[in-house]
Amino acid sequence: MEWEVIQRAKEAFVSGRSRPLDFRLQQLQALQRMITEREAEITTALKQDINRSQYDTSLLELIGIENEINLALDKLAEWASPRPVEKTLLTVSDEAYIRPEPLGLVLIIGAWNYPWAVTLIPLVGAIAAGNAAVVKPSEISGCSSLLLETLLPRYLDKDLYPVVTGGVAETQELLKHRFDHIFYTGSSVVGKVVMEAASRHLTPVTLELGGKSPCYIDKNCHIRVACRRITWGKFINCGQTCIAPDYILCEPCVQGRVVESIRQTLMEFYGPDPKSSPDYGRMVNQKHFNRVVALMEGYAPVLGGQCDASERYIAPTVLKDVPPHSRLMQEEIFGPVLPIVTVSGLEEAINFVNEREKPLALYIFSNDKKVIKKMIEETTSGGVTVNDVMMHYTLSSLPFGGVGQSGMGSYHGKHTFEQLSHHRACLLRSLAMESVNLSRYPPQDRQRASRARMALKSPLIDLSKKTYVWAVTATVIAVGLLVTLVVILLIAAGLNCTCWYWRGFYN
Amino acid sequence: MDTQREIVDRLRLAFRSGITLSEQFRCAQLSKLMSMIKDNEKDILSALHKDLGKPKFEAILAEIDIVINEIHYAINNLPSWMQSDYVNKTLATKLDDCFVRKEPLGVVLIIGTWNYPLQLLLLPMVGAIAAGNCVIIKPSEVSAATDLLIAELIPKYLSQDCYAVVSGGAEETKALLQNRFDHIFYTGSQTVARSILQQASVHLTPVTLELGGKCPCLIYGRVNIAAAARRLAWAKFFNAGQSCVAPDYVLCSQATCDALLPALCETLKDFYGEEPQTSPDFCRIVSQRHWTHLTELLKKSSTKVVMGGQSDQEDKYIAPTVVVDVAKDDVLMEKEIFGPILPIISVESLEKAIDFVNDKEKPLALYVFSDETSVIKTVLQKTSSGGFCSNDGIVHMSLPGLPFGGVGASGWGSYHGRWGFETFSHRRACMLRGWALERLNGLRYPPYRDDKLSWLRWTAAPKTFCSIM
Repeated sequence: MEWEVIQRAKEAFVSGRSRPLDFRLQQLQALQRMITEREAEITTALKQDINRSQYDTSLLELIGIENEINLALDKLAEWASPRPVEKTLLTVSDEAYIRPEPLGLVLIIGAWNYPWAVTLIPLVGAIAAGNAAVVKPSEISGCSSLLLETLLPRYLDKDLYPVVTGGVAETQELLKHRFDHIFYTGSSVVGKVVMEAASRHLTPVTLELGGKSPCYIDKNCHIRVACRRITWGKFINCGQTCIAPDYILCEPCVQGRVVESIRQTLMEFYGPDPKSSPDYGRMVNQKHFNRVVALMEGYAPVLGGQCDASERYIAPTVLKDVPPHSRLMQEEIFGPVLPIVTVSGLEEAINFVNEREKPLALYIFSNDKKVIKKMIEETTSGGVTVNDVMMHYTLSSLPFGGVGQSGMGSYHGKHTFEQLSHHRACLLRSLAMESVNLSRYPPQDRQRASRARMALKSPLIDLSKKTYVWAVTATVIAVGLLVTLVVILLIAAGLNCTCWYWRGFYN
Repeated sequence: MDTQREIVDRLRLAFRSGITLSEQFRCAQLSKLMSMIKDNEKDILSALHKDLGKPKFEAILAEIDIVINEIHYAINNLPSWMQSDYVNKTLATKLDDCFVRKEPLGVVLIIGTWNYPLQLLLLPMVGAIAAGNCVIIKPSEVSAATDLLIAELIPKYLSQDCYAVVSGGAEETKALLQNRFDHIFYTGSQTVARSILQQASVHLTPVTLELGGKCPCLIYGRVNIAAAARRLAWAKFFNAGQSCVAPDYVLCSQATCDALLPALCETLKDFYGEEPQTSPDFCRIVSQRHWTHLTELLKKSSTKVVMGGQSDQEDKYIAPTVVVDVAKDDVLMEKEIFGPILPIISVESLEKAIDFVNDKEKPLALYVFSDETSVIKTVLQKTSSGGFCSNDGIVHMSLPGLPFGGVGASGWGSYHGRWGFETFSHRRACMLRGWALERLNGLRYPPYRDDKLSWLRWTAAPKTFCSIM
């Protein structure tokens, strides 16, 4: 079954119909219509999958997808154009450029936490780059998966962009086939399996994984505002966000204020009983509910801690003075539980982060620019937001992706287009001017050799700073001399004129 | 002698110390690398001659100069490459500092190969050093003299804490890959690449794979056959055909083939004289094993040898050879030839030739010779390949502005110039916000209201028109 779907998609790509820009734009417009016209159904599906509120659906998924489509519609012609490059002496009269080309058939494997965003945003890039794409949404967000399977063929080309649903077994079957690129969003564990499967066909991959994203709160910062922003990022989608602040690092003197600020914010956001707030989500399924509850075992929370298995509800929970080597600090929490680990200061916080795997996101809250600079320079992560959380995800001009265990490759905006394109190096020469080429042919002698070496030197012009400064200085001096010369000539001519005038006058 | 583990640990420690981060350090190391090559040019040429019988001219052009040019290019451009890239912002982020920071990955491994033992090891190394990484290089044991020389010279010139050479064969490479790296750069064959990618997946290590394949050369339409023959012959028989971007086989009509053969014959005489074996400008096959493989191929092949065909085992010499009457399934058409044997296949029409190419794996390079622009554009648009060059061969890889790499079975990733720097860097998205505009942030906080949503949409849209700010 899958084999047929994949074959059809491959054949559709080979036919060439996904390549013309008009076709790509038309497909993107159709996708845009799908999101707009079917918003209500998408919202219902997400409510059933993960108890996502209508507001959150727009905020967290649909706005992002719409923006991506709009950007692609606006910029596609520019993105897809050949990009000229600098030339050497040998190639000075040639055309040298990079030509973005589609890869072929892309496999997009989505995740359940933002089922629409993490499948459709890569799909936007795949379509924009001229590829065919097999979309495999996560079976855990079952309603969204089924809805996507129904909707996509109604709006997009059925053969070029099929949806394949199913669980682990179906995904494993899918991975046996050969694709030209695999784009996976999910856990590091499965990421390794995907990469290993891809290795059999030498298929390049983009892996958007996760990890524990640290959040450092400096003692010198607006703690109230910081905690409001952190609370928003942590408990949105019930903590099930790959870039949610996983844990807080702060000094002991600040911990109390942090806890109190979070408590106040939770009251502002969800009221005294988050369970009855329409704006607070649920754990996606029993398995994840049990997993997160188990993580909390043995700790007395300072905030929250209540759960209800029948609703898969876990209250927004904060734990303080969490030991660095506890189970809570071993794996990504991916739930509404926020541990606070105390550190003696910035140095210890930096070491703490560096001792662990490179995270997908790093958050720093501080008024002190030096603190911010030091932390950024002495750590690494997929991305960083300072004095807020998650916002770097929202700017499509920033590449979104991980490093090390948190992922490879990046996307959003033009970056998705780049990721799913092949950048073909093109040099178009003419068979004329063969005499220039003679120096590189055997039989070789010293003269020929030095001419050949000269022809291959690059750059054609020296673009170093020193030369630039000299060029500017020389130009200024030359212009100055020219102006002086003109002035002198004018004066001389003027004097002459005056002489003649006076001569005329006196004559 | 440190074990591999000790070497990796030492480099990791050095990387953590932050010593490779400064521009001065990176430029200094690159300058030292340049000195290493310039000071030891004679020994390098001698080693290359020992390994491959490489003519001095070829060695200077394709091993020494290309690396020195790359180092110059990197040193000149490093300040701008290292600078953070500031990006376009939305209304919501207008007051923020939004940029992409270029960061080194950590400890990277570069595995070289034997056909251009210096270039294919040091060119990626330039990118890795420029990007601020610590680097382990693993030269190919097949080009043994160069391997030995590199292992001796690198520690004399570069920082021993940050850069190391690990020598050895398949076993040693396998053991080396058990360690965890932050990037693996491999040049070589698809078979080995699969196993490297599999090992890399254990640690989720990103890779760059510079592989090969059969690079087709199409000759169609009106064409200056003499010039085409010269450029084709140069590209094919450079390094005795042992180049990943050498034109592997030719596709043309029978008429073109009839015109091409005498032109090739004339060219080969001009290049290498009557006896190429006595010409100082013709290379040798790297090893007995590879020589045997190539001569066996020629024996098994049912093609007709129209030029060359002679060989000498002791000298590891195979004459520049051209064969015709090549069937699609001939043994010469199965895998990349990687030697001085050029099959010419008659395919009457350009469309059929394009189908022929597209039936095979995407090659590392694709060549077209024609005086007709329409022919060139047609081939360019209807095929895919790592790189493309019309009316010449190989030279597209001499432009540092062009990324050099494959696609599909011919590779993953690219390098040269800025592309090398980018390959070995992590582009970290940074957004530095202030405390102001918390009211604007309020649009995103619960409790939710419908009117908040439309405001939010407006502030978060990518600016595709002139904004007030």
